[in-house]
Amino acid sequence: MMTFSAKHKKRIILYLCFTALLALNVGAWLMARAEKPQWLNVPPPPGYNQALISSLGDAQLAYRTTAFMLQNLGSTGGDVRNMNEYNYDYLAKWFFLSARLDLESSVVPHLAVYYYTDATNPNRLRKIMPYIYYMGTLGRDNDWRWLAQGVFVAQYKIKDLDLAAKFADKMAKMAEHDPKMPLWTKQMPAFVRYAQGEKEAAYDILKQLLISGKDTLPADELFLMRRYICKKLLDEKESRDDPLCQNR
Amino acid sequence: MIYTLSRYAFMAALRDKVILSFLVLVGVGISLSFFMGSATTLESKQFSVVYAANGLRLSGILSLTLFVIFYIRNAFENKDIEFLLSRPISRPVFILGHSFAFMALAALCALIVILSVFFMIPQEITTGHYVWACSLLFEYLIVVNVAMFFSMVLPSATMGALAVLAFYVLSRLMGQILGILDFGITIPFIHIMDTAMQVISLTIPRLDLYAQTSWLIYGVEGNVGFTFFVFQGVAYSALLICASMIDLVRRQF
Repeated sequence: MMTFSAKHKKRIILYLCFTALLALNVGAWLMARAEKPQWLNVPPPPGYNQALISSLGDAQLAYRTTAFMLQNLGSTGGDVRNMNEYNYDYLAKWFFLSARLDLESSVVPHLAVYYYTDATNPNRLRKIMPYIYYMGTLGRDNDWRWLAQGVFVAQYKIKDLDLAAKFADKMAKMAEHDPKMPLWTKQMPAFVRYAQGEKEAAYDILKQLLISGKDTLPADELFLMRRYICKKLLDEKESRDDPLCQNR
Repeated sequence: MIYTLSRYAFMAALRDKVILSFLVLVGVGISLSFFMGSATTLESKQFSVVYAANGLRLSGILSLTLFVIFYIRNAFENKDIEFLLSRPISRPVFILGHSFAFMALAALCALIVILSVFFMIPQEITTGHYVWACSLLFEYLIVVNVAMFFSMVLPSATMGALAVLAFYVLSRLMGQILGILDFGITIPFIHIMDTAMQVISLTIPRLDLYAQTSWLIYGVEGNVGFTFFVFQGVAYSALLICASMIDLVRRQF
């Protein structure tokens, strides 16, 4: 029969204890294995000062952290959420906070305009429209592009043509002072008015554009504008009677 | 004598593998920053630079603080200080020698961080990068002197490390705190807190103005620049060296 010395017995007890403790830890692992991080929806945004404090006073770090968080919201540990579940009230506040932290970067406006407008609930989308309008009206180069996307979201997703007209009118007004903005930004109010059923208003806008651009716009653009008026805006009879359409 | 002492302390840092550990941290930090940057949909370079600049900045602060604190406390506990002071070395010279060594170490760490961040987007280096680099260097110089001061004054390494980190966080938040107070909040007894914070802010450097990562992307904004960083860096470091000297001169062994 095998006998163990006292030293060996102590060592065996130690190994047994270790094995038992390892088994306990495996038990703890099994208990927690199925648990996953909880989706707590969009967190309430902090104030500007709190955001700065969280990044030890570095506004750019606070902005990048916010942008990263906004980009990855709703995807927690393999749990991907529908955008319609998001709290868009808080989202809008996060967007405005990010604008205070960094107005130059286009990361958050991009997320707001091209990503968060994928929600299908118009009431939620409406919450972030003031932010899109704000970013679009800052008056710097290319800011108008947010307004253009705003027109699309308002018209086709929210289906609010008055809101679309507000964005389109603002964009057209900005285009009057910015020769670099493309022609269609001036035409946009006409398209929205046409969709609203205000054919006459749309006609007036395009006609004015045509007259004012007679000497400055390329011939093909003038042709396409006239074609739009004569073929889409006006019916056959109106087109026949309109002097704009007669001398093509 | 100052040079010999500085060399002695600097060699201790090299023996302690501070630089090597810091280089590993820098490598990990930059890799993580590139990873985080690549996970973004837009402006991935800017994300990487901001994360790297902030991460490496904090890594440098932690590395320098821990080294200085533990080096000085070990020197006290092993009676190295008593041994050195039994030689013909005056106490102010002892402080100056160590301070120069720590500042050289801080400058080396700052150089590693600066070069790492600069090489991330070498084609987009602007004046903002140089101002950022200058402010980072002076921040590190201030922090090593703060660490030396606390390690002299406080009796344990843990207390010293915590005190330096608390000091660092407070100095990074000082701008916000003063801004909130200047905004004019009406809470009972706020004027007492206001006065207390104004007095405290006199003794705390404005590290919130240093090494802003926005400078690496958009260039420098605001009124601070090289002059402010050099002026505050030199003035505050000198004050701390002087305070450490006073503490050591008054100390009974």
